[in-house]
Amino acid sequence: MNAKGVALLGVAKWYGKVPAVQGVDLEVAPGEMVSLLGPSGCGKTTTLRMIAGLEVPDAGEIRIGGTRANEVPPWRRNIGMVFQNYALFPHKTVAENIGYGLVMRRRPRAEIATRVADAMRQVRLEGLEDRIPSQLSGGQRQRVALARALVTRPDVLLFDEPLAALDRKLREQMQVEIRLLQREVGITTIFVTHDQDEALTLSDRIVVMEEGRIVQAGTPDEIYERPRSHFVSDFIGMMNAMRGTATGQGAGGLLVRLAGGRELAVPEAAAATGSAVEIMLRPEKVQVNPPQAEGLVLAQGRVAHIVYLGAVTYLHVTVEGGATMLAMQANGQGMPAPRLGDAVTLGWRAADMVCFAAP
Amino acid sequence: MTAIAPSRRRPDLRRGLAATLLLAPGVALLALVLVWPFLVMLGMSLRERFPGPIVFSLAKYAEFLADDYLLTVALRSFSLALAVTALCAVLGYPVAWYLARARSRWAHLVFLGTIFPLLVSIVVRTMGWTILLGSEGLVNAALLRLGLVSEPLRLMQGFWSVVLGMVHVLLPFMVLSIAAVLGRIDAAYAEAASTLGATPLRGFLSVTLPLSVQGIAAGSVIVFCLTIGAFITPLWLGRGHVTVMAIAIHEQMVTLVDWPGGAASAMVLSFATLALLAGYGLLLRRWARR
Ligand SMILES: Nc1ncnc2c1ncn2[C@@H]1O[C@H](COP(=O)(O)OP(=O)(O)OP(=O)(O)O)[C@@H](O)[C@H]1O
Ligand SMILES: [Mg+2]
Repeated sequence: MNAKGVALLGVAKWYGKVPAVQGVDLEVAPGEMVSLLGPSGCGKTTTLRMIAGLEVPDAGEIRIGGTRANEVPPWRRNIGMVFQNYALFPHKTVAENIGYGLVMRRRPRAEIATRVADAMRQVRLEGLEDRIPSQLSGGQRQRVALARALVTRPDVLLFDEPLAALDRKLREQMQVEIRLLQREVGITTIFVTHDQDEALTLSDRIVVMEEGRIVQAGTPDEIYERPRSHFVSDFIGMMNAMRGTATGQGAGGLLVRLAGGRELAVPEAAAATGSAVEIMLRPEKVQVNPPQAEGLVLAQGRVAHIVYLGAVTYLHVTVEGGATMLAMQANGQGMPAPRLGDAVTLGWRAADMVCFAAP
Repeated sequence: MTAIAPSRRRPDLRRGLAATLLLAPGVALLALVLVWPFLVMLGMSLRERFPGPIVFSLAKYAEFLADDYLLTVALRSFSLALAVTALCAVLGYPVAWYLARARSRWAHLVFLGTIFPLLVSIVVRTMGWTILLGSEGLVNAALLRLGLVSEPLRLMQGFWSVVLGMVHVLLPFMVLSIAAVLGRIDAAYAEAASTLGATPLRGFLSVTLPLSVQGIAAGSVIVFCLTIGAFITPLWLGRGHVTVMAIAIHEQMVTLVDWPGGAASAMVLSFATLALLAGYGLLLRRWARR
């Protein structure tokens, strides 16, 4: 399949005096699926629209397939884009919507008919050819938008929060469908979302943005396990955050004195002695009453609150020093479930902690 | 069930009553100023003479269809309305586009400029055109001064000067109708078209234009009907050389005192207009569906 890479080199965009994107460098390999993840207003849509050619960058260069595309208008970029509200043409039937890109490319009628039929089969829309968009369900519209973007065999596929309007169940189903289809077609894909689960499910690589800049890019597990800043760790998943002061390098890594007076050693971390730092720890890395305490960092505490979520249970534990720690326990593993007020021991591996400058 | 039914129906009943009460004044006014005179005119057109014995016949309609003068006038009226409507649509669409899409601060000024002709009395407007286009007007003065013509051109008394005057005053109706519809069309449609390979022109023709057809239709109906019924502007700007149906009907009724004849002409005008608009509506809908 024709997959082209996309590269952004120092791309910036202002809306009047508002900087929307401020110097983004990003390389997307052919066939790769990359998510742009970040809070509202961080510049995800603007970045995507610049790749599509709907917005012209004020600085930097956009390359598609290795050649500069800044001056290429959208209709000559050979991209496919799925808009947030799908933007299906309301006066055209499903088949006409899907075939639109082929008509614009002046393909012969017979070819259009077969390719539209193929695309409709691919997204499981057979039989809906003659409906108009207002007669479709949300998931069906989503599929039409997807088919319309894919049928022209674009070099790059762009999504702007296409699943935001769907309910949770349908969203998860569509995530899997989009991922499978993307792999099957092997198309370079850039997906904008502010939903961390969506980013984790869908991407080969996640690019986290904040205020128009990329703050971290990496595989989903890199982003999840080794966030490099408070912002990234806070944005993705739940976290235990412990404030402290760096007191120097010790044998086990960076020594951090916590607010409660305890000192922890965090491996593979560095900070200036005396600076304020934050230690982050995922709740699922915290074991409750670990059977083997050897090699673990331990803390004693009392269960203050229990959140039962079916598959897992979150325990809020008040530890020595008065801080609250969050521990996640998988249910149905035969582990005795602590009750409210129980004294518990929490244990975690030092290597699971990450540490960076306090915000 | 039976116990519930009345309490469920009562709010409906009350709502129906409220709706009736709210609609009543409007309906009454319409009946008074529209339906009643129409029926009176219809009845009048079916009489042979008035005042006189009541003899119903289609004689006046037959007279109309046999009268070359009246047929010419009718043709002129419809040509005028057609020309004015088409010009308004062609000139108004870009302005409406600008009003609906541009985020510039000039948009307010353009909007004011658009509706300004409506705020100016017809007398002032016509005087304005006279000053500009009359035989001693500015345009002729300039042409004479420049030596481009040796004697004043007759810019004022033709069909096209009436078209110009009508377009001038009716353009705002077209612009506002189209702008209202364009403003509600999501800009994402045009963007989607462009990402799918449509040049701006093809995207416009295949997406934005069909989606804005309702605005064009509404504006056209207003402009067409107002032009068909126009009296003063054709009379003044045409200087008596552009006789339209409204003027001819006035002549029949007031000068010739042929009330049934005038009424028949008015009926022909009304029904022809209705038929034309219906056909136009069908055509547009068919086209937008493509
Ligand atoms: N057309 C515009 N005019 C002016 N400012 C804009 C425009 N579009 C975006 N901005 C601003 O640029 C910044 C980035 O916007 P952008 O739409 O790229 O954010 P986003 O990450 O997609 O957010 P969201 O998740 O809410 O969609 C924001 O501060 C926004 O207010
Ligand atoms: Mg956005």
